Amino acid sequence: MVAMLSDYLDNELDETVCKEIKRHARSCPRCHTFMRTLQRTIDLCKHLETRPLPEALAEKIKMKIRETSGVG
Amino acid sequence: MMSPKSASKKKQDRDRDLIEAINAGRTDLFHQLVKRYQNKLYNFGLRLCGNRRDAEDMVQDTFLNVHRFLKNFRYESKFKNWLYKIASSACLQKRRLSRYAPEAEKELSLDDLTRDMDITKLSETPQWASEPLENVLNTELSDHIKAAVLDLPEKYRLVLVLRDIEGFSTSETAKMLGLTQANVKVRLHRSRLFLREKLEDYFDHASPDAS
Repeated sequence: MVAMLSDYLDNELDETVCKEIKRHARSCPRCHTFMRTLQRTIDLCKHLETRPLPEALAEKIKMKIRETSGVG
Repeated sequence: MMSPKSASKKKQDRDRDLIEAINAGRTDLFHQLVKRYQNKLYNFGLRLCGNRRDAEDMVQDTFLNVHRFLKNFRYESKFKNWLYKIASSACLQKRRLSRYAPEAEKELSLDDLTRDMDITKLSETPQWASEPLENVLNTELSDHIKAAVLDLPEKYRLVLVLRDIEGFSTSETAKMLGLTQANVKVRLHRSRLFLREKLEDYFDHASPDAS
């Protein structure tokens, strides 16, 4: 079952298999926990902190583009 | 004549109007395109390259390439996908030349990633997976995950970053990387298992009460 979990969490499996996995997870705490921790791993990746592009670099890019095109 | 499918693709591309204006001569608008994507691309570079200098170089090279080739862009994909394709190649190139690059490309085996599943640990859902996300995610954990992503072998990391961090679909990722969808799914799944394990270790060691 572990091999199919990502497809399951991404809704990329057909309905019958999904139902099967859901039914199994309800009666198997180990798979249930594994599924929850995998889902949380995915969610955490989606919400990682981000940084803005350094202002100096943004200016540098602007200048370089101006140089190549003659306009900014 | 344009097929209904490509017409709808064009419609879906939020950058289309801007690109058309730039290509029609409003080259001064190019900076708007840069502004729209500069932070996203920079963070994408940080996740893939692992250091600021390479990420900065990648962002600059990518925008200069986009500027150079925008006239040839034919909406065969969304602009964003084309941009990330260019950025991915630039990252890989940087990474290969970088002193931070791993020496060898490891394979992640599904057996290895699931063999050591500790049954006692899995008997109940740990706090880090049951509490609301905002109670769990902080700067330290965010840094830990970023470091774990960088520990992934390159081919896995690229797929994970595109799919789970940048939010591209399986099909978009496959097209960008020239892989089959099945291959993307296999790499993504193994990357997630790898990260899950790292998170489990992190919480086991962070605090005895954390799990």
